[in-house]
Amino acid sequence: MPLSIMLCDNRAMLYDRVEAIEKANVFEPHYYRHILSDSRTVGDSPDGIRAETSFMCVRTMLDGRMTLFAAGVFHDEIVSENGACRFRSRTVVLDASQVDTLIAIPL
Amino acid sequence: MMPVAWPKEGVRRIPFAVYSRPEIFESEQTAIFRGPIWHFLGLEAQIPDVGMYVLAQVGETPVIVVREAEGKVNALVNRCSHKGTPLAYVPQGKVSRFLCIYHNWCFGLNGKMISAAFERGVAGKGGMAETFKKEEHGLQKLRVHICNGLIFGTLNDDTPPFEEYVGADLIANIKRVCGKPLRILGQYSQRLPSNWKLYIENVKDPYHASILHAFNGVMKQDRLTMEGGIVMGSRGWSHISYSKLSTDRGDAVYKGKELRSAEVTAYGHGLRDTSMTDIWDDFGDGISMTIQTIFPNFVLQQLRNCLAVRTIVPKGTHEAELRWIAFGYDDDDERKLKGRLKQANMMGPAGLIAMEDGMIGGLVQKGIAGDLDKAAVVEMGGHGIEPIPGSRVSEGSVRGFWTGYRALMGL
Repeated sequence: MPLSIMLCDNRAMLYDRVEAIEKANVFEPHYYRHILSDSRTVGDSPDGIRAETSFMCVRTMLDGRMTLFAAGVFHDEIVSENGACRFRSRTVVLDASQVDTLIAIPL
Repeated sequence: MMPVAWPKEGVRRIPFAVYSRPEIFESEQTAIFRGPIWHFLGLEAQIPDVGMYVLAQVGETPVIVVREAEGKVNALVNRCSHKGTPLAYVPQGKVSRFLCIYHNWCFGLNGKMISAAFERGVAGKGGMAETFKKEEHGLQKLRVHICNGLIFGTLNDDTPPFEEYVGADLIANIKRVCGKPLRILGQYSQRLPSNWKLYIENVKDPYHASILHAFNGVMKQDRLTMEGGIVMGSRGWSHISYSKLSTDRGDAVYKGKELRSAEVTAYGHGLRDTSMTDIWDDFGDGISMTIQTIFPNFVLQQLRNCLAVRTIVPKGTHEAELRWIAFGYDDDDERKLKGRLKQANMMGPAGLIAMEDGMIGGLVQKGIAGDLDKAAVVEMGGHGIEPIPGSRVSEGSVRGFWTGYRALMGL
């Protein structure tokens, strides 16, 4: 199924999403802590490599409530530009299709 | 005896107790969800082939929706008639019959019992009692009505025919939005930290949309200054709220400094990206937004070209699950498919417009704690449920929900 929870496929959309979170959307303030696995390269892409990294994300609210909010895997395309590695794309695949309350900050 | 006395003002007051009292939650299961209502069960497009099924939930009752034959969909209570075990526990699949994992009781796609393990015993000994008759132990069935691919079911014999329950204007909008073969784009769900009714009230309330959802107001996606209105279904229980994007004349109103959205100046020049605002008129009528409910807990959504159905499943006094299915049409070309997927950024748990709806009910329920004898005030647009022609500045549709609720609950 092609539907995603959040879809930004160009730089302008990323700006719009960040600006919406910072200025328009209202939600209970919270923080994420990602726990990452080792990254594994899974192949070449036209300009670089593809890598996978598993993650767990703990969400902490201002009053201290902590929730294991999400688990899943990042599928990344990493390219080398002027001697630095940069993300060309990141696809976040969640293990569950159910979300607790809302996702404001991208995972 | 209900633990709630409805205030004498009627549906322009909502006693806080209806959201939080366990006795009310229990009572709703019988009076509403097993009562005379049509409950959304799924889309025909989810089960195109014979034997395909999806699971649904009508209140607390687990339901299987299965295609028995072309043009024939059955809704069966997902409960083996032996011990009560669910017969299907994977959310969707394809089967030739339903076989209980516990003792191999077997049922056809029509719910009729086919066989039980060791029905005649082993080597002539044991077996079911002579009084046992398979034809008496089929699965409980729901009455089913399909309207343009939307599958509804009812557990109650007294539920009026669907057309009468919903009303002609609302049927017309279902035909408008679902009138050609649907293509399912995906589904997800949200756990809501609130009573289910706080969510459906929010859906039925056009008053909040451009205020709570600053993204909406500032982006001029949906403002009360657009041409639009509220259409009420039968008895006022269900509704449609609609607006026309091209008719907004509201800058002066929305620049009033008491509206939070007016303070969000970042979007003065619109979004940087244009792929979400590259819209088209799906229905040739200029109506860019319709939100339709069917009492008690179903939503059909058209936000520009972003189409979806939502169902709110009650889980407890302070918990509900909101299930979304996004769809387009079989004949969508690449541009339309991509456009719908982009515009889906507005909906769901991360929806630029929808995300606040996931949490606002939880906040309300925190706020009302400790004073369940008090009541909410719902007087925008008057006291009644009559729509105001050409206006959405009204909570009439919210009062309409409570009119139905009171009638069924006897409150």
